[in-house]
Amino acid sequence: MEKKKVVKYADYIFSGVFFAGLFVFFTFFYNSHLHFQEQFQLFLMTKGFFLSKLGFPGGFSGYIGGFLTQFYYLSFAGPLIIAGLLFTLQQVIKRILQSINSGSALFPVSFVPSLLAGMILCNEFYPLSAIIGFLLAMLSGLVYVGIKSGRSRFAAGLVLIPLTYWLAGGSHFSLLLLMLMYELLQSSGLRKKMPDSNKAVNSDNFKLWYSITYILIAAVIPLLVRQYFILQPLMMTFLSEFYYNIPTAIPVAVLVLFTLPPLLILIVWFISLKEKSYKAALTFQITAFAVLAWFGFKSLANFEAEQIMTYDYLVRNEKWDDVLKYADKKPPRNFLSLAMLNLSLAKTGQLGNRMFQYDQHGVNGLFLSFNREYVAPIMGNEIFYQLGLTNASQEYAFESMETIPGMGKSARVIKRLAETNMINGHYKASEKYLKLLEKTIFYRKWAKSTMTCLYNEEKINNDPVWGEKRRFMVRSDYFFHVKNIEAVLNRMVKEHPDNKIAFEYLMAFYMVNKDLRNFITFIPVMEKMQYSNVPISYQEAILFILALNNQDPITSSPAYISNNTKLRMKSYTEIYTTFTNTRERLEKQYGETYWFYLHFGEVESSQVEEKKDNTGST
Amino acid sequence: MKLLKHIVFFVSSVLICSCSKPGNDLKVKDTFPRIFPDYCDVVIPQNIASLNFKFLDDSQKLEATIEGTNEKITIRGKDKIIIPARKWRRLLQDNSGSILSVTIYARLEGGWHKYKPFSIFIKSEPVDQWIVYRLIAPGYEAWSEMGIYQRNLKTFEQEPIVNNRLLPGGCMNCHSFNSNNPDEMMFHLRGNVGGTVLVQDGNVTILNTKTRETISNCVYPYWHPSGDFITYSVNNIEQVFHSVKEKRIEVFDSRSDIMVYDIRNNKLITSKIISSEESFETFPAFTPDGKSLVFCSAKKGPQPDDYNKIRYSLCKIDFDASTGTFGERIDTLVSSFQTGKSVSFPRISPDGRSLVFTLSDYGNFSIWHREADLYQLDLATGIFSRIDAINSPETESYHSWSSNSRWLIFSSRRTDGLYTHPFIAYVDEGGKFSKPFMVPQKDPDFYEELLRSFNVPEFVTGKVKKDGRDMLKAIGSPAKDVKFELKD
Repeated sequence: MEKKKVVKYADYIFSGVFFAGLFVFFTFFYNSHLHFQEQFQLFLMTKGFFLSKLGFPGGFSGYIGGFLTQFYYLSFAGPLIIAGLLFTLQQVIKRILQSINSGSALFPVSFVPSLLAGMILCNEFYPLSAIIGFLLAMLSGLVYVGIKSGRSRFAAGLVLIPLTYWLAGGSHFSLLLLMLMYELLQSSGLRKKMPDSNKAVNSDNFKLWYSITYILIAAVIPLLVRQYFILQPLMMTFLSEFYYNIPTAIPVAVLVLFTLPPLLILIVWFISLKEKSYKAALTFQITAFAVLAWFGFKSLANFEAEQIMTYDYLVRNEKWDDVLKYADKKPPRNFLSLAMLNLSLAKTGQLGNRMFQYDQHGVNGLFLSFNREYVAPIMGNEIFYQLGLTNASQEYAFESMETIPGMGKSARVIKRLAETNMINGHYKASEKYLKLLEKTIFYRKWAKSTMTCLYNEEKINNDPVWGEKRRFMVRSDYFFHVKNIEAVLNRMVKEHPDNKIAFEYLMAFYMVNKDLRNFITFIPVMEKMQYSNVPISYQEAILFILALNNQDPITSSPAYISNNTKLRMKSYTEIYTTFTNTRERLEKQYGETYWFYLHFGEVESSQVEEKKDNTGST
Repeated sequence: MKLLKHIVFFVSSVLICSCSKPGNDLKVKDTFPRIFPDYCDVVIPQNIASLNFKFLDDSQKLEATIEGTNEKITIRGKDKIIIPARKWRRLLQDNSGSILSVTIYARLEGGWHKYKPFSIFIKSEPVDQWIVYRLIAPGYEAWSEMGIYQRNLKTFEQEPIVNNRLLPGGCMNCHSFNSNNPDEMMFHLRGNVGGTVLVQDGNVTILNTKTRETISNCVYPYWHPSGDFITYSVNNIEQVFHSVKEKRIEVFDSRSDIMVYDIRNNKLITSKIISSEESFETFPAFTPDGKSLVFCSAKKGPQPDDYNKIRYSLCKIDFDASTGTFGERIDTLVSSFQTGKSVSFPRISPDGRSLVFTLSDYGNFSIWHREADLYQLDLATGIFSRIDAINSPETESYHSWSSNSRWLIFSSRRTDGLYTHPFIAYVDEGGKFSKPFMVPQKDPDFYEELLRSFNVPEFVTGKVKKDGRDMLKAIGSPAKDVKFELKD
C-alpha cells in the first residue's frame, strides 16, 4: 500500500514538473516561436471560415488548432495552451495504457507521446493542429478500448476510423494501429490478468476479418475522397494539410508520434511489475525520460531561429530599445537579426554612433533580399516601412504572405497592407484588409480604430507614424529593386533631406561597403542635418579620409570632430603602424571603431548588389 | 394576477413582433439602398443564380420584397438578403423578358426605412451556364494558392479544374477555349512541371512550345474556330515595381512576336510581317470566320526606359487556314497615333459584329493601369467608342464573349482598386451595353474575404469534364516538342 502511495505521489510530482517545465520552456526560452506562428495565420471568427475548414479532411483539427494558435498573441497563453493540451494527451494515453495494464508504476510511459509532441511543437513548420489531430485520434482510441464487447468494438471502429479521418486527417492511422495492436494482444491468448477481473475484456467475438476491414477502410476512404471530392497529392490525401506546413515533405516526427501508442501498448502489455520493484522501475523510467527530454529538446529546439524570431517580434512591435538590450545579451549571428538591430539603432538615432559596436558584414546586414521564402521579406518590409519606402514595404509584405508554407494568410501582413494602402490613399483596398481584421479577436480593436482614419486626410497626416510616412513619400517615380538600394537611398535623400533615417542608412551603406569616396560626397548633407554631436563612426571615417589624403587629421579636421575621437585615432594609428599583430592588439580597445572595421572587417558578397542608378526612366 | 401577467406578456409579444416588421411609421427615402454588390437596375439573364446582396449601412433588420408580374416574394435578414434558390429560379422563369422590382426595408437606429425600389431586368437570352477563370492573388513575383476553376452561373457551384494544391509549386495560366467549347481547351503550366496542356478530341497532350527559333514558350492564346489552329504570342515579359503611390507594378515586353500553332501538324508557323524585329506584336485573336487575325502591334522601343511611350495599335492580317499562310498586308483598325493610347485584348463577338478591346495610356498589361477601360469597335463601320455603361474609375481589363454574343464577362477592379472581380454585362443586337452585374455568390461577404483575383474569365457552354485527374497522367509524361516553320 505504501509503495502505491509513493507511486501516486510520484505521478503527481512528475506531472507537475513536466508540465510546469513545458510552460516555463515555452514562456521564457521559446516564446518568440509562438508569436512567430501566430502572426502567420489569419483566423476569422466567421461561420464561413469555420465551414470552409470542415470541407477538408482534418479540417476540424485544423480549425481548433488555428483557433488556439491565435491566442499565442498573448505571451502566456501559448505556453498554457501547449501545456494543457499535452497534459490532456498524457491523461488520455494513460487511460488507454491502463486498459492494458493497470500497473500504476508504469505511468512515466504515458508521458512519452506528450514529450515528443512538445518537441514537435518546437519546429514552426508543425502546426498545433498536428497535436490536436493526434489527440482526437487518441480520444477515439480511448472510446474504443473502453468497449468490452468485440462486436460492439467493431461497430464503433467502423465509425471511429472514418470519423477520425474526416475530423483529424492522417492520425486515423495512429488510431488504426492502436486498434490493431489492441485486438492482437487481446486475442493472442497471452491475456494479462487484471487485478480486477471484472475488467476483463471480451475478445472472443472479435473476428480477424474485422481487423482487415479496419485496414481497408483506413486506406480506401482517403482514396475515395480524393477520387470524388478533393483532388490533391497522395500524401496530402492520406495525411491532410494540417500536420505539416510543407506539403511536399514527409513529416517524419509526426509519423513517429503516430506509431507510439501501439508500441507503448505492447511495452506495457509485456511488463509486469511487482511492488518491490516499483522504486527501481520508477527511477529507471524517470531517468530515461529526463535524458530523452534533455537530448530531444536540445536537438529539436532551434534556438538560433528563436533568436531571429525574438528580434523580429521586438521590431514588429517597435520596441527599439528592447532590441538593443537583447542585442547586448545575444548579439546577432546572421543577417536577419543584424538587419533588425541596425533598424533599431536607426530608429533610436544611434546607427551612426553604435553600428560598429556590432559585427557588421556589409550591406546584407542593412537590407534583406527576397528569395521566394517568407521570413526575409516580412522582416525586410519593416526596414522599408520605417524608411518611408511604402511601396517597397507593401511589396515585401505581400511577397511574404504569398510564400507562407501551407498557403496560409498572415494577420501581420494584412495589418501592414492595410497601413501601406492607407498611407498611399488607397482607402478601399485598406478597408478590405481592415474588414478582415475586424473578424479576428486580437486585431479587431486596432482595425476598428484604424477604420476611422480612412478618408480622413487630416487624421492620417497628423498621425505620428503614418503622417511621417506620407511626408517622406517618394515624389518622382522610379522602379524599385533592392539591388539598386544605393540609387534608391540617394533619391530619397535628395527628395527629403530631412529624412534622417534614410540619410543614415545611405551613410551606413557606404561605410559597410568601405566606399569612402561616395561617403565623403555626403558630408555637406550631413553638415546640414544639424546633429548636436556628429555620429562617432562618421567622425572616425572623416579622420581616416583626411589621413588617406596625407592631411594631418588632428589639425585639419573640422570643428565637429571631438577631441576624444582625435586622441583615439592618434593612439590607434600608433599601434597600427608600430606593431605586427595589430588585430589582436587593437581588437580589445578599438574593435568597435570604424577604423577597425575598415582594416579588418569582412564585407561579405552582397545579395543586395551595388549598382549605379538604373532605376528606369520616370 | 396571473391573468394580468398573461395579458402583459401577450401584449408585449404583439408589440415586439410588430416592431420587427415595417409598420406605418416608415421613413420613405428617395434614394436607392446602398447594397453590395450593386444590383440596382442591372440586366441579368434568366439562368443566373440568386443575386444575394448585403446592406451596407448598419441595419438591425432587413426585408426585401421582390416583385414580378404575378408574384412577390419577401426575404428577411439582419444585414444580408439571401434569396432561396427555388423561389429565385421561379421568379426568373416567370418574368423572363420582364422586370423585377425590388424594395428594401431596413430597420436602422431611428426605425424602419423604405428605400426607393430598384429594378432588375431579365433578358430571355440565356448566358452560357459556366465560366472558367483563374484565381490568384494580385501579387508581385510569388504566388500562393492558385488555380483554374469553373463555376456554374446557375448555382454557386465552383470547383477546380487544376490548381497548385494538386501540383505544388506549379503555375497554371492563360486558359483558353475554342469558341466557348469546354471540350477543347488549353492552358500553360509553369513550375516544377512545365508545358502547354492541350485538351482536344478527348485527349490530353502536353506540349513544349519553346523552339530554337522563337523567343519564348507560347504565351497569350486564341483558338481558330476550326479547332485546327491556336494563335499565340511569344513574349519576353519583364516586371518592375513602381515607387510612387499612384502605381504598383509595370509589366512590359522587351520582345514579342505572333505565332500560329498548327495542331494537326504540330508546328508553330509565323511570318516576318507579324514577327518583326522592329515591332512588338502580341494579343492575337482570330476573327469568327477564321479568315483574319487581329493583334496588337507597337513600334519597338528600349525597355524599360520607354515603358510609358510604347503604345499598341489594333491591327489585322489575313489568314488562310487551308494553307496556313498569312496575308501580305497589315491593316490598322485602331491606331495608337490616333488615340494617343494603347490597345490590348481584342475580342470579337461570335456574330462578328463587334470587337471589344481594352485601352490604356500605354503598354499592354492593362490590369495594372487604373485608367484602363473597355472600348467597342463596330466592325462594319470601323468606329470605336468607350463603353461608358460598363466602365468605372478603376481598371477594366480582360473580357470575353458568350457564345450567343449577348453577354460580355470582364474583369474589373472597381470594388477596391486592387482585387479583380468578374462582371457580366448584356449587349443588345445594336451593340448597346447595359449596366453590368457582379457574378453573384452564395454569401455576399465572399468577395470581401477573398484574397485572390479573378483572372481571364471565359464563358463556356458546358462543364469542363477533363480536370486535374485526367491531366495528371499527361503532365507527368515528357512534353511533345513542337516544330517551327517560317512562312515567307
